[in-house]
Amino acid sequence: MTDALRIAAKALGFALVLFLLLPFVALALTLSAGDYTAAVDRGLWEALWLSLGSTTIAAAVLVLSGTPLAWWLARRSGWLARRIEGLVRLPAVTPPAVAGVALLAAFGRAGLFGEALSEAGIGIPFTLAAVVLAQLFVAAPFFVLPVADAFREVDDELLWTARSLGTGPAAVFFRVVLPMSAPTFVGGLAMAWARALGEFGATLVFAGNLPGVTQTLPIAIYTEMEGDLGPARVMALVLLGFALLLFAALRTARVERVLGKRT
Amino acid sequence: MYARGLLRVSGGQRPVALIACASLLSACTDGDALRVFAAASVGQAMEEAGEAWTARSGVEVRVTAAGSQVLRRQIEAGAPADVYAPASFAHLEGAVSERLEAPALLGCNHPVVVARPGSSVRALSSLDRAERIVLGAPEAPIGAYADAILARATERYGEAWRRRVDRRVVSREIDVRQVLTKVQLGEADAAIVYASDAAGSPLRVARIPEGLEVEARYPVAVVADAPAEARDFARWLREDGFAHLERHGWTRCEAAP
Repeated sequence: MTDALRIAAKALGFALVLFLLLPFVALALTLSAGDYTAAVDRGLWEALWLSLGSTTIAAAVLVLSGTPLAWWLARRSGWLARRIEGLVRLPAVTPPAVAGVALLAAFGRAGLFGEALSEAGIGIPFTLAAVVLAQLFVAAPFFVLPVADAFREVDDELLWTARSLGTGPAAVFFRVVLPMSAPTFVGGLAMAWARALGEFGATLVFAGNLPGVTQTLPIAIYTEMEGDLGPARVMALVLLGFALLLFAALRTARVERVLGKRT
Repeated sequence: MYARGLLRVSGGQRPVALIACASLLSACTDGDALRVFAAASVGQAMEEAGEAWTARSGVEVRVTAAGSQVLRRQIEAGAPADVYAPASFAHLEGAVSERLEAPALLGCNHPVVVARPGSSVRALSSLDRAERIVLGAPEAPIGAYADAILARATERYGEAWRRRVDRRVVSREIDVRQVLTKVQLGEADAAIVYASDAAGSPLRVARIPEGLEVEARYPVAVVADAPAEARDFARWLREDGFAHLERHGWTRCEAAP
């Protein structure tokens, strides 16, 4: 009986792997010879650089603002901290197109801050800034929440010991907390980056679609699907390749060693 | 939002049957209802026409509205359809043609200029006064039509006009719905969309001047093995039933193809 159960469990798990893998294999197998040059003609590289550039900015902003927030969330357990943690979770469960509409409602020309922004000469929709904001919005929970959890797991005793040895609070954070949380820090960053790289719905609504300005790779792919599917397939595989490359790079970069390097 | 219309099935008086069809992923027959596959842009008008036809003939009409290329692939794959009304004749070519009887011209939809009520755009000639213009992507039919109109208009209004227009184009949206939404939300001042999209919106609508306009020609075709009622419906749609499409901005086509 237990044997049968084990075999069934294995079969089910393996079936899921097949199901997850098959579409990607099919995507690669259905390519034809002229698709690559067609994709290049349709602005594959321009869209890829825009995707990489915008997600790099979004990831940098996320690390700079998300790390202090995660630390604050980890150190507080009050009503306010729990509410704020819930709020940070919100974009992860919001449909991306709705996120785009919400971003327009806040920062659009007809939005809440639209008048103030346009008086200051700032127009966000249809710009690279809108692309980055959309990515930041949807990706933030994937970084902040796991990192806050990792910070919580750092033993308080350890922090007190370090402080009693004369280490300053900033040094404790950079030399003890960050190195100990490094795997989660890197994993969270990779997930957030991947989410930003794949961002489509919010970007489409909030930033629009102009090649070289706001047309990221996912949007270029969807635009191509109006016509021939070949170039869209190539673009999808390139996006996939870069996402995998990003994961591999972050994993082998051994960020924990860099972070943990004693000075 | 971008999946809008992909699975919009309506006019169905048999929700249970619909759920069963969806859950079994099977091609199931819905009694003797007429199954109309219509382009997303015709969907709403087609539903009204279908209801009128049901009241008139007693034959139930079930409209599936989606992107023409999606419907086309479904029909090619053997989906149960009786009448096919895509957004252009191009969607009748290739493998799908083997399942269709000879198509007929249904009617015409015209690209028009729409503008926010407060903007200073009053016609195509003053499109360059918009602060932000949104057009369809060149890959989308509405974007291709917009490019054709702008190319002709450049000859009439001049290169300087064209450069001002080009400078103000902030986005080439994926489909006509996205284009319209950007103007309705107030993020863009003006756009080029179909008359059928503009109908019923609070936006200012300006026709494309004579000599510059283009016609989007919508065909209708009966699927080869469809019952005789399908032919009756398609014929009625082009005759008396066309009033329902006219209410949504369609017109009789002017010139022969």
